[in-house]
Amino acid sequence: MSAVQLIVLFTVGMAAGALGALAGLGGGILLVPVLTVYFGLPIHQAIGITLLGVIATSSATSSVQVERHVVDIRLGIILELMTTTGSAAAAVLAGYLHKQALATIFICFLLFSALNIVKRAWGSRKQALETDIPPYTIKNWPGGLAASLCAGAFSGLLGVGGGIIKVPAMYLIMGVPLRVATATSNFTIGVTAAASAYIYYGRGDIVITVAAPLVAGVFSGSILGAILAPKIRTTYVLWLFIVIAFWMAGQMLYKLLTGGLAG
Amino acid sequence: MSTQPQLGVSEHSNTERWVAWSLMFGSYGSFLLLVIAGIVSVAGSTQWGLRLSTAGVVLMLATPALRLVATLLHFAAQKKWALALVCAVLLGIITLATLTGMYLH
Repeated sequence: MSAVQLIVLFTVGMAAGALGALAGLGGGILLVPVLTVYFGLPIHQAIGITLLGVIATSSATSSVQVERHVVDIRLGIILELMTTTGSAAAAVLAGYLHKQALATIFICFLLFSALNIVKRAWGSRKQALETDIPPYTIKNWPGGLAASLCAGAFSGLLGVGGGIIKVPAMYLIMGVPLRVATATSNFTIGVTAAASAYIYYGRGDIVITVAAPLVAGVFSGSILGAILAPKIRTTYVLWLFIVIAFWMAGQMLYKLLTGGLAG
Repeated sequence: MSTQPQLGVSEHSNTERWVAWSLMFGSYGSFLLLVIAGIVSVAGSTQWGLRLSTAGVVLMLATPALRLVATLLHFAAQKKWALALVCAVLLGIITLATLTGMYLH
């Protein structure tokens, strides 16, 4: 691989990682369409490589959040029982799904996520920042565990972190404060992604030459995003994320309809 | 049952420290290997670049498992058997996933 290719992949990973960290989401949701549309990678390989990026983002940010006491470790590891089960099962299933079916599910998930972020960006205009963690008691374990199973399945199937399901589930169903829910979701994403990444790796879907510079970029981008986050207004980042997500969904749909997706 | 974080409780902080260290060791170690791999590849040694890249990717893949092992050992040392069992089951699921991946290869 040439130096230019290495730099391009590193920069793409860094941009996705930074944007993901600033928007409070994993960059994975943008990496899969970028890798399939602009780099011509088969969707199964794009998902496998993106899962590695999800592990990098989760590990980089969780190590800091854990020391800041905002992660509920006990809740996290219990929910991981469901997310890893769903993730591993979905990763096996993904191997048998046709690329077009997988791309269609991904486009739907991307649009769903973008619409969710629109709602969040609109709401964040006058939302006060939650600084203190109020005391809380976890409720509705069955609901939270079921949502975690779904989140894990989406992670293993599409290479995303699944935070878009886990955070609302913890916050709205289980009564966990939003700040703890976000940090705990990010904490669980690494193990969840790992359960399916081992399957993708074993199947040969993680191409080392592409994954190495991309993951290094995602890792450094995540750290950069975490440093910049307090200095940048989240609303602008969220709107940028929305525009890119809709653009990528459109590009992916075009490729899907014109038969341009690599197999 | 409540799992409210016991902020400021020393044993909770110890668990957090173990978890944070394992995550930092795995992720920063992997990042370092990947950066060296990139430099070595550009310098012309493609074979060493690929070896180091593979090592970096494998270490990144192993980081969540490393975090689980650290948490398991810490909970076991504290005799919190229920939580240690949860970590052991999670490691079992991950091992099963790895074996499935190898079988599918």
